[in-house]
Amino acid sequence: MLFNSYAFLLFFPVVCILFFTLPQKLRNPWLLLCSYFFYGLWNFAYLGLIFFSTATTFVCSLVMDALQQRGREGDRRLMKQVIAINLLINLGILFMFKYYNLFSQTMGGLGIAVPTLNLLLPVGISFFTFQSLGYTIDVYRGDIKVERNFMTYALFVSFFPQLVAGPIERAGNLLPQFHVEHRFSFASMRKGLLIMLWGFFLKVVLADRAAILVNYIYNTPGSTGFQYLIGTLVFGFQIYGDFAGYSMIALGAAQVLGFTLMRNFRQPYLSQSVGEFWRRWHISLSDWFRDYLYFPLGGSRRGTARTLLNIMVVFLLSGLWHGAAYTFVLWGFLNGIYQVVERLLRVKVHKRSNGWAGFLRVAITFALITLAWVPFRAVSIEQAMAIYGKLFSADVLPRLSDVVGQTKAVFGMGKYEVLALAASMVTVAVADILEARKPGLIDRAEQLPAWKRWPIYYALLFAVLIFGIYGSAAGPAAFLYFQF
Amino acid sequence: MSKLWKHVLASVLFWAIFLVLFAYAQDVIVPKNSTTKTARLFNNLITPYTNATRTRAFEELPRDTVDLALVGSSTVFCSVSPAQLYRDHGVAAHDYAVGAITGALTDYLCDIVFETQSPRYVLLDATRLYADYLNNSVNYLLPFTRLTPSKVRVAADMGDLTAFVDNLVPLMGTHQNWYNVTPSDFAFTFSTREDPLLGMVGMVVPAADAQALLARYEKPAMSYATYTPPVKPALSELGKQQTLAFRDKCLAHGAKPMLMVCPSVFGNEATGFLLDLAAFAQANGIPMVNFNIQRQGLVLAPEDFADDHHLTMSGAEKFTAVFGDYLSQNLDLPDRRGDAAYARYDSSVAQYEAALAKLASVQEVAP
Repeated sequence: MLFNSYAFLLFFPVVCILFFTLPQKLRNPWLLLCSYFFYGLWNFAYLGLIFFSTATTFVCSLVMDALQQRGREGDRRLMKQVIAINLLINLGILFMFKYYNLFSQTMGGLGIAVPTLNLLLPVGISFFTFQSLGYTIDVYRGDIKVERNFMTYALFVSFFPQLVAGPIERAGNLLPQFHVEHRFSFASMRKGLLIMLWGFFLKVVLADRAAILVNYIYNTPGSTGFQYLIGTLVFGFQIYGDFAGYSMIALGAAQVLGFTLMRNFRQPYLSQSVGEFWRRWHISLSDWFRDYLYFPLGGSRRGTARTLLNIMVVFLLSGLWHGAAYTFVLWGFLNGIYQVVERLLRVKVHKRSNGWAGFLRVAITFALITLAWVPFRAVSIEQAMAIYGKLFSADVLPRLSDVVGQTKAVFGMGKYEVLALAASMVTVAVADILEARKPGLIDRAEQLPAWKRWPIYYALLFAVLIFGIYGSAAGPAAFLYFQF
Repeated sequence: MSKLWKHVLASVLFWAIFLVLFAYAQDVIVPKNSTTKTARLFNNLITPYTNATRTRAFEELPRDTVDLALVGSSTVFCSVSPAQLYRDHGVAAHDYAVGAITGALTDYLCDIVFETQSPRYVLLDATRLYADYLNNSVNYLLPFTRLTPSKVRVAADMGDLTAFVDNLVPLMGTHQNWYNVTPSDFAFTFSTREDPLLGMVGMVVPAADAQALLARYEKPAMSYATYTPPVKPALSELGKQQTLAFRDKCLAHGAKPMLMVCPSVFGNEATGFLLDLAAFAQANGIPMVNFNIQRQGLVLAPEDFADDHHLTMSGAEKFTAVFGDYLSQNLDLPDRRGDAAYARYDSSVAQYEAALAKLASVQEVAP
C-alpha cells in the first residue's frame, strides 16, 4: 500500500480508531495484522519472506541470548557461529532477490555464463533486512535485551509506518515502545497529522511534479547540457521530497499512534561539507553503516590510510544498498571520494562557518552532492558519463530558446507547472532554513493560536489537494526509495 | 467546558470551514467550459459530468414529462442532445446516462427512471455496455445516495478505489485542471450548470487526432459484414441476464425497451459483442439499432470526434438530427411542443442554442 493512495486514507483512520479502542493486550496483534495487510496489499506471497526473516532473526537472537546467559567456555564461539548463520541467511535472501541478477550480468561480462532469475524485488527488503540484522547484532553485543515475545518482535520488524522505506529503526528505540500503553492524545494526533501533511506536500507536490521534469529531460535523447543541469538540480529536490516525504509521513503516522520514530533527515542541503551531509541525509542508514560496519572495520582509529579505506568501503556498499546497478556504486564511490578528499584537506566537518564562508561551503557541498546525483538517476554508466560531458562543456550555457517561451519543449511541462514546481522548491528550502535557524518549526506552529495556525493547515491541505499529483490523473507514483 | 469538548468543537469547526473552502475550490477547479485549454476532459458545456449533480438532476425532473428515456454510458450523452430532439421533433427525451456504465448500474438507472417517469420507450445505449474493462464502474455515488436492492449489485462491481474517489469527489479527479483556471472561474457559480435536459458534453480534439478517428470510423479494422464470430461468445451470460432484466423491467412499467449503438470507432472485440448482442436481442424480442451499421444521412467530419467513443458537440448535433429522423419514422412519440407542461424544454432549447453558439466562437479562435 502506498502512503499517497486513497487506500491509505481509508486504512489509516481505521487502524488508529481501533488501536485506541482495543484493550492494551490486543493492540500489538492489531498493529501486526495491519502491518502485514499493509505490506500484503502489494504482494501477499512476499509476506512469507518477511515472516521468514523475522523468524530466523528471532530464533537466532534467542539462541545467542541463551548462550550468553549460560556463559560456558566456547559459548562465545557458538554465538559467533549463530550470528554468522543469521547474517548468511538474511543477507543471502537479500542477495538472491536483489543482487543475483547483477552478479549474473557481471559474470556474463567476464565470459562466465550464470543463469539469471526472474524474481520480483520485494518492496523494502533492504529496510526490513537491515532493521532485523541490526537487532541481532545488538543482541550479540549485549547492547539490548532479547525480545522473547515473537509477536512483539514481528511487529518491530514490520511496523507499517516504516516497513518499506524506513527509517531503519533501532531495537533500543522502537521495541520498548511496544511494551508500554499508548493513550490517545489529541496534541500528539494533531502534531502527527501536521507532520504527515508536510510529508504529503514533499511527496505529491514537490517530488512527483519534479519527477515529470526530470523524467522528461533524462528520458529525452539529445537533451542539452543546460537541460541536464536543471534536471539534475531538480532531481536533488525530487529525491529529497520523495524520501524525506516518506519519512515524514512515517514519522507522523507513528506519532498519531503515540510512537516516536527517529528523524531521518535534518536539512541535508544546508550541510557545509559532504561529511555533514551524510549526518543529515538518511540518518538511520548512515547510523546503521557507522555502527555495524564502519566501527567494526576500525573506524578512524587505525590510521589515516585505514580510515580512508573504511570510508570508501562503507560508501561503496551504501551505493550498492541503494540499488543493484553500477550507477549506484558510482554514486557511492563519488560520495566516498568526496569525504576522503575532505579528510585529506582537513575540512572541519563538525564545525559550521557563519556568514559568507558558511554560504560558500553550503553552495559547494550542494554542488558536489548534486553532481553525484547524476549516476543515481542515470540508467547506465554510459548515460551518466555522457551527461557529465555535457555538464562540463559549453552546452551547459542556456540558449535564448531555452529560456524564452519554450518551457514545454525544454522542461516537459507548461510554464504554470514550472512555476508551481519552483514555488514548492522555494517553500521547502525556506522551511529548511527556518528549521535550521531554530529547530522545532512544527512544534512552534503547533503553539500558534488557531487563527494563525489554521491558515497554515488549510494552505498545506489545499496545496496538496490542488497542486499535488495523485489519483487517476497520475496514478500513485511509488516512492523512489521503495526499490531499495 | 472540558478540554476534550473544546478539542471536539474546534475540530468540527475546522473541518466545516475546510468543507466550505473545498466546495468552493471544487467549483473553481473542476472543468466547466469547453475550451481549447480544457481540451478532451469531460467538461460539460452546461451539465457537469459529475454524477452527483446528474443524480440530483434526475430526481428534480417534473413527474411524467419524459416520453423517451435514454439510459446508458457517456457515449449516448455525447451523441444525443435531448434539447435538439425537442426543438426539431417535439420529442420529450431525457438522458439518464452516466459515464462508464455497467449492467448493474443500468438496472439501477431504470429504477430511477420509473420512479418518477412513465416513458413510452427506454433506449439502452449498448455501445460499451458489456466491455470487460467497464466492470470497474466509476459511478458509485448513485448506490450510495439511496438504498435499493440494486445497490448490492453495483457495490459488487466496485473494484477501482481511485475511480470511486475521483467520481465521488470531482476535485480529486480533475484537480490537475488548476493550470487552466482563469479569473472568471473564481466567480461564484453554484447551481448554474445543472439543467438536466441537455445531457451532452462539448469537447475539442486536436485536428490530426480527429482526422485519424474519422478515418478509422469510416474504415473500421474489421467490418460487421466480414466479422467471424469467436468460438467463445463475446456476450457473457451475465450480459444476457442483464439484457433480459432490462427488457422485463421496461415491460413491467409499460415502456418499450430498445437497444441502440452510437457512432463509435470499434475494435474487433466490440464488433463481436455487438453482433452477439444483436442476435440475442432479436431472439428475445428487443429491437436494436446500430448507428455504426445504419449510417444513412450521417456525414461526420474530423472535428466531430472527441475520441473513439465520444462525439464532440458538433458531432452530436449532426447525429441528433439523424437520430431524431429515425425516431419520428420508427417510434410512436408525441410532439410535445406548445404543451405548457413541457415548457421546461423550451428554456433548455434556448440554453442549448446559446451553448452551440459559444462553442462555435471557441472553435473559431482555436489554433
